[in-house]
Amino acid sequence: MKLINKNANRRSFLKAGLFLAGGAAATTLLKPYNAIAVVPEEPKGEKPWYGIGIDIDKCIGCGSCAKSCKIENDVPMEPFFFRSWVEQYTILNDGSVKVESPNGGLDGFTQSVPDKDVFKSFFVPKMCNHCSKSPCTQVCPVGATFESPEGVVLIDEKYCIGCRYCIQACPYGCRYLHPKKKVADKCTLCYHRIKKGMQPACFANCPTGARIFGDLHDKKSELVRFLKDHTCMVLKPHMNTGAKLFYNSLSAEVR
Amino acid sequence: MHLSSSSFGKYGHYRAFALNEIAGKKIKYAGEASCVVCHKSEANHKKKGDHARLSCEICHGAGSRHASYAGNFKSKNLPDSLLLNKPVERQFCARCHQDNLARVKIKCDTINFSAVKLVNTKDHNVADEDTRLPYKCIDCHNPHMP
Amino acid sequence: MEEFKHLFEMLPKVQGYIYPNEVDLNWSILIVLYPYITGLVAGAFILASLERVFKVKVLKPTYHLALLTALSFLLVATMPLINHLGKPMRAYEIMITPHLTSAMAIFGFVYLWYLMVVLLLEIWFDYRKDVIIWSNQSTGIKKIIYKIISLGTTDISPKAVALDNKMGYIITIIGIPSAFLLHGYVGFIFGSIKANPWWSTVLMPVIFLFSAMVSGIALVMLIYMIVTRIRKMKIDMACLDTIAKYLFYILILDFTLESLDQIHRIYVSEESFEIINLLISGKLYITLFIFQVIMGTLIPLFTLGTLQFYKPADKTRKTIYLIISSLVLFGIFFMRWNVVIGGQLFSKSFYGFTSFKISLIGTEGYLMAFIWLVIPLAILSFLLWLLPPWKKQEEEYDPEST
Repeated sequence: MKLINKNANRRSFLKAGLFLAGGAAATTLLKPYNAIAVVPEEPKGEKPWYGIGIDIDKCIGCGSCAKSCKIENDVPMEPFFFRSWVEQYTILNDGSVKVESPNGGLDGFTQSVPDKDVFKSFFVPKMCNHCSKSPCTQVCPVGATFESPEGVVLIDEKYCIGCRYCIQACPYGCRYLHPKKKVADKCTLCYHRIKKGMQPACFANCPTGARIFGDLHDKKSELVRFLKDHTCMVLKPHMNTGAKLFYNSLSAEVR
Repeated sequence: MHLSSSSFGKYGHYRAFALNEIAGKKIKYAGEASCVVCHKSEANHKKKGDHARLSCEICHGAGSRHASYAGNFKSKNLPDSLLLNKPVERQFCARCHQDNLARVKIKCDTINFSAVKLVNTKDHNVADEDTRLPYKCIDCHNPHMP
Repeated sequence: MEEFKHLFEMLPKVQGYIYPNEVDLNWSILIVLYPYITGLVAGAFILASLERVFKVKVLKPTYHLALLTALSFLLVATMPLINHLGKPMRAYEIMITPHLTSAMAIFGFVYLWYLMVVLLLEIWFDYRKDVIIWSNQSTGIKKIIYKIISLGTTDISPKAVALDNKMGYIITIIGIPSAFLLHGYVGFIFGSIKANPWWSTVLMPVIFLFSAMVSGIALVMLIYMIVTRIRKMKIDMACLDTIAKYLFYILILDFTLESLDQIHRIYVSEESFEIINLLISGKLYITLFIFQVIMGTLIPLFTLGTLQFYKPADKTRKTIYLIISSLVLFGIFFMRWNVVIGGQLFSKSFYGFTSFKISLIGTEGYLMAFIWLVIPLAILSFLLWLLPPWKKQEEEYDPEST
């Protein structure tokens, strides 16, 4: 009698264990597949859905955007942490490509190749693309990074565990680990400003109007007009990230 | 259950409170409208020149603190901590106006984007020929109406 | 400034152009250890299951040793990960709000499943009878520990023991796919990062799995030889030869898969090809070609292959096995290194490289990494003291059960 009881106990313990573990395994196997297969959809309707336009033809590489971003968002000033930076591309007559971004362009640029060797040269301001199918959000294991209802990719710094998987997943190098907070950090599209009806800092401080911020749902917005009037391209389109940062005059060398 | 946060999952797989927390951050760049309230003459000046479309804070730096506290002081008694930049160095003007083929847009001659005047700041009127004293850009050019 | 010193030192070592946020490597040696250790676990377990499920009786001397090795390393597997987090105290979030689109989120569950359901249960059923016997024989602390481990069970009748065996068998059957899942899944964490062409390949989980088996088998082989030497017992050469044979076969598979991956890469020659070509012929040359391919793969393959046809004296073979298993373990460590570190050395702009410097001390230094590799061995020593496989009673009433 005693023996049977023991066995029964052990069996039920085992059953419960298997049941729990089986449940976990089932979720493991089924749900992510489901979740990955379903591409997040752009919300329809009146609500804003923010995007960015950058006119490379108008950028003079003054670095005001990069500088104002660091100040507005308390980004560490060391040259390893950038939410927004500027690159100078120089295509030489021999066909080689030289890319520079000294201190992210924060201190301005000096032409480093003599005029006679230059085939063409241009500046490319970079920042978070606020992708609608953002790989960084996809890989966050805890839900610390997310797309806001307005289509802005944000980080919850109180929830981020600092695993840095998102930094690996961003094809554009737009994320970094905040050296003090020890959590991932990135462009918020100045969420604190746009929610108050202001332009993000880098847009407000661009002297040439090379940066256009706007609502992709508002067909009368400056951004939508910009997209209509120019032939725009996103970075790394083959990544299918649903990037919402559109460049005019984007050269093939830019990555 | 809510070890995480009661707001987790309200809009998506994240803490909904985070939205307000991020939206509540302090603004540093106040915008031209705040500057104009006091600095009327500079603003009027600037309106007529080539720098008309430039926000004041591009050169003078983030002015939110300055704008919110400046009203408490008589104009000349502002503590240093509230003062904004008045960049005077050649280097500063060079950020936009230094010769650079990427600024000239040599690749494109149809779009005449010539609003930015370019000069080699390293040899353009560097010093007075007689006194040898170095010139600043703003010795000749009024930055508000260059 | 002090905390950024290493980054400022790195700046002049940057070659070409990298995105400004890419100077620092985000995943360092601790993340090299993570797939390495999990791989050892999966590999050791699969070797154990060969004896249990596929009835390769000649492997009997290593069966329990392999299980205990797997457990010792599995207990530590998550530690380098948590150690590496920016906010380790928030690690629990991955269990309460796992983001199911993330390949990383499920690791906690896969890990727990493997630890609780597979390894712990299997070892418990395997040892239950012996633990009860030992608890009656011993005194003091040890007796209390055995009592706790036995979870209050006292029944060692043949019927109960037969049930133990049956359960162990079932769990091993569940365990094999679980071991595949555990490590294939670790490969998927890297393989699913489309932004990184060095990682992003469908073969990654499979490559990880086979390299895991290779490393786990080599580890058990090495540990078996060392433990037997310490116990001053005679090494079972038939067992060792069989392990070597499996090591040889799986090494062939592993090498084939990795070669396939590289050949495919070279042939399709995508956008990233130039930078990867520069990477493997430059910064990864020593760790990839010398350490991983020549020392960790080709020499063992050639030697083990030769041993399939030509058998030198036992003593010579023992020395060869000792060297080969160490070489394989060394090579697989650098395989993980080349994946994890190599994948971060080149810029995602494909225009340049950053460099990697590791310090001796600090949470991500050599010393810490070394500690995480020694702790499992300490745990294993403890487990071997507590649950010595060689003191287990022979199961003579086996035929009845299955």
